[in-house]
Amino acid sequence: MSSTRVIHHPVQLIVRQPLTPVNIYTVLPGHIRRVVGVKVVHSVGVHLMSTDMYLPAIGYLSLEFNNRNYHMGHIDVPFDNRAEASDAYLDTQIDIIPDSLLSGHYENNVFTGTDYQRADGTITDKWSNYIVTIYLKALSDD
Amino acid sequence: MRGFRYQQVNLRISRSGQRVYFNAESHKDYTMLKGIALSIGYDGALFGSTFGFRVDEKKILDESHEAHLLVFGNDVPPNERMMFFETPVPLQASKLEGIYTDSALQALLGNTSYSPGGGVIPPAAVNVKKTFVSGKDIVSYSHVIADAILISDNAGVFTGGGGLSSGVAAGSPDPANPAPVYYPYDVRITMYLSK
Repeated sequence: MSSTRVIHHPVQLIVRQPLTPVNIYTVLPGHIRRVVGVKVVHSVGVHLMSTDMYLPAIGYLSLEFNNRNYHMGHIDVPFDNRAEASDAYLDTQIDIIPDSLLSGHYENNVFTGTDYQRADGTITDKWSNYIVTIYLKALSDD
Repeated sequence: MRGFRYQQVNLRISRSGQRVYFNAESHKDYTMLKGIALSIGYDGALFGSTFGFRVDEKKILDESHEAHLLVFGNDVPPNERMMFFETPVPLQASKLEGIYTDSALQALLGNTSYSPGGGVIPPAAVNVKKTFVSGKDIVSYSHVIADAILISDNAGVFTGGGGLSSGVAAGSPDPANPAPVYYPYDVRITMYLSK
């Protein structure tokens, strides 16, 4: 028996270079019928570069659904190292073509200026790879 | 009789990188699962740890779902300290399964198998060990009704006290950045059941 239910589907991406945009290409599972909410969070890594507990934008994310037919827009990705969760998702109501592509790109905003490469050409040793996770709250008929 | 119940399962994480699996049965008098929350005894262990959850072998939360998104603190009103499901999950003495992995995501930071600039991490790399099916290095526990029962590994561990791990055990975070975490710590899973 098949019934529609809500699932939370994470898509993890790793940022390995401060100046190189990260391209996102992944196929969503075929059982996802509709994306009703999106949340983008920093997972791990930035806390190794910063002593701040909160940074409003460590990067910017652009997301496209349905084989690049629907551009959802641009999202600021904050860094929040406080042990407080939010159940809030960005409200979306996007019908998903089965087995379609989720695409987009992520642009890093940490260590992108002279704090990364100094005037003498040396590169900071404080950079750390980090992981950002896109959570899709979706209706699934799995 | 009240029309809701908070069913709980407690897990004890004894060392860095440990994965603990549980399965339980939902209380037979309740037919809806409306929400879920975690409480973790030690804040330092929150980030990078993951929690997967299934009901009747159907995935609700992926195994790579971050634990810190399910933990709510004092800034949140008591009635909102839970991740609520928009559509309650139907239950009928259902099989509840969960898998908690300590420091799961830190292990991916040093991975060099991706493109130079980075990119999407394949699900197979995140859910490396397919723990819902089987896997080595897993603490497993199974019982009929789990309700505020402490679940532990075989090593005996209701000893209390804390040990300091340097983060270099198997499956641990990046050894170059050993964030000290005290073990053991407890994870309490609260499920909000309704009639």
